[in-house]
Amino acid sequence: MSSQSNNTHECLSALADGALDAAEFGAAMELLARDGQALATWRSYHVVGDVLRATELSVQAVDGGFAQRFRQRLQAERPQAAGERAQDAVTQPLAHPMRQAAGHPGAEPRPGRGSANDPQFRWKLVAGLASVTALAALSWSVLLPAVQQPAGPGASQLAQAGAPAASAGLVAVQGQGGLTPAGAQTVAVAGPGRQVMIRDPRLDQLLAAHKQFGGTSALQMPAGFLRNATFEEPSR
Amino acid sequence: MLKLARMKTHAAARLAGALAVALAVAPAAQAQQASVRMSVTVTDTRLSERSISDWLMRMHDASGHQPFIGTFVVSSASGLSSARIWHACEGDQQVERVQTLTGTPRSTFRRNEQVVTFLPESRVVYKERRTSLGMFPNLLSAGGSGIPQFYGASLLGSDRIAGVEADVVQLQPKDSLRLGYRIWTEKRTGLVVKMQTLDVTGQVLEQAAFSELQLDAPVSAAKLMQMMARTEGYRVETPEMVQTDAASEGWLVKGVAPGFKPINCYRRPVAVAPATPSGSAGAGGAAGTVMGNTLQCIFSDGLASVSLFVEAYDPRRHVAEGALSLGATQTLTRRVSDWWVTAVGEVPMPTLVGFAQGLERRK
Repeated sequence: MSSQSNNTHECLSALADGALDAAEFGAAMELLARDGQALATWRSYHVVGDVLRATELSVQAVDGGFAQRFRQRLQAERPQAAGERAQDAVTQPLAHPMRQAAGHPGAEPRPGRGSANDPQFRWKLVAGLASVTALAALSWSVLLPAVQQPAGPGASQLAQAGAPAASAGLVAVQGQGGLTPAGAQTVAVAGPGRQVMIRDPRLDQLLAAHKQFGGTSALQMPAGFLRNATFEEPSR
Repeated sequence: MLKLARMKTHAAARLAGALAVALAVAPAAQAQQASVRMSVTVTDTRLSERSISDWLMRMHDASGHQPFIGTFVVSSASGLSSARIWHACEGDQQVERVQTLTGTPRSTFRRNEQVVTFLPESRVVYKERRTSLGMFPNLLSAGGSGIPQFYGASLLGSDRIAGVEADVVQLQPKDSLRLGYRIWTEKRTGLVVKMQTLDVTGQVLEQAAFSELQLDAPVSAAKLMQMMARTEGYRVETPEMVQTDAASEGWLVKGVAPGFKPINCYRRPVAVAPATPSGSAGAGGAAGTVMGNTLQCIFSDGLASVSLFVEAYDPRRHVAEGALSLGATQTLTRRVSDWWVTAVGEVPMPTLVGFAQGLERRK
């Protein structure tokens, strides 16, 4: 008897692996049809496999016990239909557990184990398309500031890190046309922060001196003066 | 495994869908530079020349009659700076205190044209007299301001800034030699609450605005003046400046852009060596610094100003000619025979280049 049950198990596992040829397949069908134990074993194979592959399904294993018992009780009332449903289950060896459960009467739906439109290939297409679109939009928004800088000769570098963060929504772009003819090099503008990295301290002094005398501007009072007082480097 | 992959795909697909929509909108929003929230329908009303002058004068006068306390924020590509402002009016005196909140702590006090800057970290106080601060009204009344000639103004609409209702006016330059401005003035008093400086393509280079503002605040001018006079423990420095003019210094400035007028020239001592940690050099010449003489010539078209600094060429210090952009301010350095010229201004770079290249030594 143990050897026979071993045979049964081997047969069923071969069936689950899809490794049976025609004759053996027929024998496995007969086995399942007449042996309720074999059927139970078959189902437990699938439950085990699913739990191994997706841990979130393990929670429903608890329900699975109840559903199985329920199914067995119903099967006991309708034994002739069981064989057909077992065949359904077998012909789709990689069938979704939902499908399997649906193959047995009285199986309850298991929420969260997949969406209803799962078998339809076009929804997978939509999902893939949405992912690709998201990726494209992400890379576009990253590249867009770089693309927007005017391609003037020797355009100075700006630290864009500060720009998105600026709540005012500034996109400050500096292009330089017509540099001095003596082959001037452009000095990059340093990024945001208290200390501007590349600037010459002497230049800071001159800047402060320049701002001191911006008073002829109509905008000086109060905005211009306040702007200079807030902004200026006091390295005089 | 396939079941797992499918499940994740669906969750990911829902997320990706939402993300795709959000990200499609975000670049568009980012691409819309200088977005202004308008609370009413945008009315693009051109302001006449007379009304431009009136409106500018109103802006200028507003701070003379309106005490306030607020937080002022200046932001540009080079960073964000903010300061706390107290402004008091007493009779015909305006007293102001600007306390920086970012970077080096600095307290600037202004009483009309008298400016005192406290640097607590280095215990230095700079006292200056900025005669240019009161110059604009004189310029305007004398008809010298060419602002309407070079800028067109249009009323864009209304907006709400720092809790106050403001009118938005755009000053659009009529040529590409100038920068544009968008100015928010508080409706009742005309006080400037926000200002954007725009480049020739309309992108915002710099923005200065109140993030919070309390009008008619109880600020005491007397108290501010007391604080201004408290210089105990500080080293007082008074940079000396000699007023002069370009011609007598031996310079011809031919590259002046149309609309810009020479305002002033000063010969000033500027520290030549980098500032020592104990404090930067002043007229007294702190140890370790060498004083040089620099000529500064200032030009203005009423809204923007350009300074040309000329000093003796020193190959050790003056290494690279170049151009630099700092928010709205552009700088340019250039060598002219034995001299080193630095041009600084809130103008587009080509204009600055014109100024620098047009500087010639008189024969």
